[in-house]
Amino acid sequence: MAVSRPQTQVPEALRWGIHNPNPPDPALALILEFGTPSVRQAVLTGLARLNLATAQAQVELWTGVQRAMGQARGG
Amino acid sequence: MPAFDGLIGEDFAAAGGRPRDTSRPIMLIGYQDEENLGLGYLSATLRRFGYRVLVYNFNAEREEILAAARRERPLVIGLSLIFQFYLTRFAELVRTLREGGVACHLTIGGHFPSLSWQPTLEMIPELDSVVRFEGEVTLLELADMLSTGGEWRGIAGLAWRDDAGGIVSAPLRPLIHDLDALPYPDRTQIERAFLGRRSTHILASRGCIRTCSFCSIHMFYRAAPGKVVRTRDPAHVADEIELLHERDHISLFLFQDDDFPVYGVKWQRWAGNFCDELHRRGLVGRILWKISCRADAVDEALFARMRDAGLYLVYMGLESGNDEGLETLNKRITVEQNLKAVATLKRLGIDFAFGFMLFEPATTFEMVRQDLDFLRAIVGDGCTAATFCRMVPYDGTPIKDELIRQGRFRGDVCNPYYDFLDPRLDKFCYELGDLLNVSGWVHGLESVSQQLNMAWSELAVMERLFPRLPGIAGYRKRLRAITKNSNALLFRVVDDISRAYTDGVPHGWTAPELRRSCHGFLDDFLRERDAFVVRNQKILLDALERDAAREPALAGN
Repeated sequence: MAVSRPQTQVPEALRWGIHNPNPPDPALALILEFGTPSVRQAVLTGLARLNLATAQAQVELWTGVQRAMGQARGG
Repeated sequence: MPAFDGLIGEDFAAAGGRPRDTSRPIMLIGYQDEENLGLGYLSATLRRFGYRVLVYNFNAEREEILAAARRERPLVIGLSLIFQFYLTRFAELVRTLREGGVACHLTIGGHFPSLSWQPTLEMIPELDSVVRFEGEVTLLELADMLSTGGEWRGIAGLAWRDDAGGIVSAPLRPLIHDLDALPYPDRTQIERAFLGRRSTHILASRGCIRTCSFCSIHMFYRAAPGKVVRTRDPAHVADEIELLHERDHISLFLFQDDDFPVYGVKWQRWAGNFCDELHRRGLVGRILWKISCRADAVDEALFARMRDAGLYLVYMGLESGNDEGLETLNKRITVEQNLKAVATLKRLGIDFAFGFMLFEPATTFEMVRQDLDFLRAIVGDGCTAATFCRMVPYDGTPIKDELIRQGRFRGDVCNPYYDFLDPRLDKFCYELGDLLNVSGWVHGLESVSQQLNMAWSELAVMERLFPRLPGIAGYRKRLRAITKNSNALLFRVVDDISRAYTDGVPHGWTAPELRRSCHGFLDDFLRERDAFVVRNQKILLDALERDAAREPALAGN
C-alpha cells in the first residue's frame, strides 16, 4: 500500500506511518467478520495446520535437545 | 513490599503456611501487538508483592516462548485470551509447552475463559486452571499458594479439573472495589505515534452498565459479584498521566475504558473534576486524550470543558442507522440521539470515530439503505473516514443465545457466524467483503479509511501540540475533501452492489478498479500531507528538538 511509498523529501522524524496509536481489530478478526464461510474455514484450518506443524517441529527440536542434554522436565 | 494492603485484604502467603517464595518468576503470555493494559495490571500487581514477571507476546515465535519457559522455570504461566477466535492457537501453544517439557501450573484468563470456563478446560486439557473475571488478586493468591505449598484448589475465582475428572469452579471473587488500590500498570510498549509524539493506553474506570446484546463486556462484569462500574479517583488518573508525561514524555493518552465516565450527573461531575486536575497540574496544552463513550452521554457543556482540557477524539459505538437495528442490538438509544451527538461534537470541533455494524442478524436491504443515508448524514462531509463491519456473535452474549434459539447460529467458537433472514444478504455481505478486502478500503491497518483517520489524529496533534503552523487550515480543507471523496465512492459502491441483489441490475464494480481508486486516495493524501509537512519542517523539527533536549532515552524506542 501507499504508506511504504518513499518519502525522501520528508525528514525522517516527520515521515508518515510510524505507528497507529489506535489500531483496528486484528486482521484475523476482520477476515472472520467479512470472509465467506469457505475463506474463514480455510484461514482457520491453515492457522491450525501451521500451528500444528510449528508445534511438532518445536517438540522434535526440544525433545532432541532434552535427550542431548539429559535434562529432566522443566517448568 | 507490603504484606497485604487494601487490594487483597489478607495475606495469602501467610495463609499458605510459609513466607511468600518469590524465587521463581511468573510468566504472562498474551496479545501484545498493541499495548495490553490487562497484562500490565497483572504484572504490576504481582511485582508489587515481590514476584519477578516475564511478559511475552502470544504472537512471538513458539520456540522463543518455549525456550524462555524452560530456561526461567516459572512458578506459573498465565495466558490471557482476549480474542476467542485465538482459542485454537492458545491450545496449540499450551500443547507445545507441555510437550516441550514445561510442567509448571498453567492457567488462563480473559473474557472467553471467564464466561466459558468449562469449554475452555475441556478444549485445552493441558491447562490446570482458569482465572475467572478480574484476575489481579486471584492470580496473586494462586502464585502465593503455589509458592508456599498451600492448597490452590478452591481459591475464589478459580476453576479447575478435580480428581474425578470433573470441572469445578470456586465461588467467584468480587470485582475489585477500589481501583486506586491497584498499582499503575506496567507498560512495555510506549510508542511514537505521530510526529515523534508518544502515546499510551490508560484506564479511568472498569465496567459498563449497558446491556448491548452483542457485547460480552457487560456479561463479564455482571457475572461476578460487586459493583459493576468502578471509577478511579480523578486525581489519581491525573497523577498517572503527569508521571507518564514527565518521566516518559508521553503526550497522547488513549483511554480504554469500556464506557468513559461521562453519563449522568455523578459521572459528569467525575469528568469535570478530572479536567480540573489536569489544569491544576499544568498538563493542559501539553497532552491530548481520547475516550470511548455512548452517544447519549455527549453533553455540550461538559464536552466543551473536556475539549479545553485536551480531549481530541471521541469514539462512539453508533452501530446502526435505523431504530430497528438499534433495538436488535439492544443499544437503548435512537438514531436521533446518535445524530445529535455527532452534531454536538462537530459544533465543538472535537473529532469522532465510530463503530458501525452494517450487517447484524436482523439486517434487511432496506435497513442497509437507511444505514447508508445515516452514514452520509454523519460523515458525508468528510469529517472522518467511513468504516463498518459485520456483527460477530461472541460467546456469552444474548444475541448468540438468540441466534441459537432461532437455529441461525453457524460455525463454532473460533468461527462464529449466522444466517441472515434474507439469504440474498449472505451473498451481498460476502461479495462486499471480498471487494473491500481486496481493495484495502475498510479493513486492515493500511486501509484507506484507517489511514485517513490516522491523518485526522495527526492533524489534531499538529494543531494542538505544536506551535501554529502556517497553512494548516488549507491542509485541513484538503484532507476533508479527500476523505469526503473516499466516503462518497464507498457509499456508492455499497449502494450499487446492494441494488444488484434487489433490482437485478449488474453493478459493474471490480476489485482492481476499486483498488486503483483506493491507491489514488492514499496518494492524494500523502502528496498533500508531505507537502504541508515539508513546508513547515523547520517549526516542527525545532519543536521536536526542544522536546528532545529534556527527553530521557527510552529503552526500545
